Amino acid sequence: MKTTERNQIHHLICDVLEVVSLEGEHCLLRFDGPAIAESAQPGQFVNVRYPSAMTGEVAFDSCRDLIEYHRTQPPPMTPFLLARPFGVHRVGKPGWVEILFKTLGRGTRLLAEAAAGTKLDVLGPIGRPFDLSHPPRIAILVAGGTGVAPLYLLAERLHRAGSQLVVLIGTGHAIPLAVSDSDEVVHFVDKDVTAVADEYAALGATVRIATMEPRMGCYRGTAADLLAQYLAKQPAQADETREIFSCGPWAMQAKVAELARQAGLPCQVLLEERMGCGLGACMACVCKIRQQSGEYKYERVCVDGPVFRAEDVGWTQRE
Amino acid sequence: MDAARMTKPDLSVNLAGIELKNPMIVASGTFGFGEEYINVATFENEQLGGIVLKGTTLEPREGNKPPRVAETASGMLNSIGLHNPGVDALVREIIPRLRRFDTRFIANIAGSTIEEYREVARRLSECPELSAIEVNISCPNVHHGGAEFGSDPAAAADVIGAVREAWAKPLIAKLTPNVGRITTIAEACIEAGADVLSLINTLKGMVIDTKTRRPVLGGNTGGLSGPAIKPVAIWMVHQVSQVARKKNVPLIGMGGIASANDALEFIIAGASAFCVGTSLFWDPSVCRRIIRGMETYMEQNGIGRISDLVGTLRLH
Repeated sequence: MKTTERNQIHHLICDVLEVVSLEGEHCLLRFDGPAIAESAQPGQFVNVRYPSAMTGEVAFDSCRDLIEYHRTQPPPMTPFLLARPFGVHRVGKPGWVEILFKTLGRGTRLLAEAAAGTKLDVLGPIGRPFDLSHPPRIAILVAGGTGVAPLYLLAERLHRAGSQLVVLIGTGHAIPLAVSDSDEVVHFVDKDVTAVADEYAALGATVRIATMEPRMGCYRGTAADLLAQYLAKQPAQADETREIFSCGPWAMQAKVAELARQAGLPCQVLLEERMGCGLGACMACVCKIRQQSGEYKYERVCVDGPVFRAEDVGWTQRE
Repeated sequence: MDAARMTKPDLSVNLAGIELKNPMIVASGTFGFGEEYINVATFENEQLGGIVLKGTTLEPREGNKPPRVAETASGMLNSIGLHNPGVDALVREIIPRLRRFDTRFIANIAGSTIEEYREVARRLSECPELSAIEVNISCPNVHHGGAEFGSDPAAAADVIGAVREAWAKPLIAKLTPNVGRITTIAEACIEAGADVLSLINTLKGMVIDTKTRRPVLGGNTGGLSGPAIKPVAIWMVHQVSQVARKKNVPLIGMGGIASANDALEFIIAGASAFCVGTSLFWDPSVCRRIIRGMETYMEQNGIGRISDLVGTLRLH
């Protein structure tokens, strides 16, 4: 995406407002960032790190006990330098932004130790958002793992635009969202598959959850399996437009893209890749994307994406 | 109030005929082709003395397969592999758009053969927007060319000599630290016609994923940059300044600069200008802080012109 087509990127020192630990080492972090909250579009991300002047101190202050920290996390780690990209999960008034992530490595672990009042250095919003110029009658959102995070902002905007939402969530076992049982009757899964994610359900969405490990109320399988079930058992009505929106691990999204192709449905996917600058300068976060000429070329996930048309992504060209 | 405190410190630099408003340049490969940071609210291209564009080859190059970056202790490894659209796209589409920015532009060129370097330089010579060429004889991430040329004095001289024939304006040779004696390469480049030397490029390294027992980077090895390499870079700038000074050849120092103090170290070690690179990735406001910090240092130490500080190191 050319620089002239991109939005302004704010660079803010933000106060953490709240950090909530969720099951399965997931973490919900809310920070104060009005300029980003007002302008973030679904699918865009923020680049988050500890401020330069405070790198280290903040992380260890929030740890309360530096010695204990080093005992539990051997060997002692240097603070991370590169910002970590997170899809915007939710925004709200007055001017807060939420990200939702799983603590996987050093960066996410240190961020999870932030507390109310911790300062964060945040750049955003960044990237090409989902294309919502033609909201479908039925929007099918497919989320794998922490892919549920950026799809929430999308669900909200689609709901506002009048789309009916179907949300299919797949996780290993832990679900990083509040879950309850729904009595809504759906025809694409068995009657005992009743678990729904509350915040999506609150938008009037039809929600179902798949887990790899058995879990009460959940479908046993992946989000892509749920999508296959849905597409097989819920054929479109004549006057319905349907579009798939997806975010999650590469293999899952490749399956979603294939199912969309077979069903003849448009599909937008939000990709993840290891990033350097997150601003389009370093050319690190590339992925093969089909060009108008038909050939595949590396494009930058950060600024040419992170949202792409599923049919343009070189799903088999990763290795 | 004394005179030094009355007048604003003079940050301007003359680098072998290139007039820079200040000695702060952004390093090749960390700034795309000059436009990527302009959407960031806290960044302006105009605050820079100059911009070195991403390494460019004769034909477009796809670069290495991802992952292309890995964070390390106080630094990062990259393995981009000279991903670029080729010199013709640079000349036709990119460089004309850069006219609107009030700063100096320097192209960075690379190739697999001496002939390729010469041809890229020849095609760039029609661009009045370029103030200089930086010849990359130090890329650690390509199999042919790159650091192969930069680690042998004769090969380095051949490349610089070939580019010299095709390029009349200032020529900068970018040196690799992955050599035994960097001063030998420096002397060979000066002898072959380099007007300026820039150093250091990245240090070659590897990170291994212990779960898979495979290198983290798709290209297996990569170049280390960031604060981790700064002391190595300072030492090399000091060494090279000893030979370059005799020939009146100025240096551009780089490697891990993330603050005004870092930049001042390079200047005192012997660099007339410096490049900011990796630190931009995590803090786009770093450039603003560096300029402010340098001005404060100059005011506090009664230094009127930054050029007076170059190479003023006092060894024990």
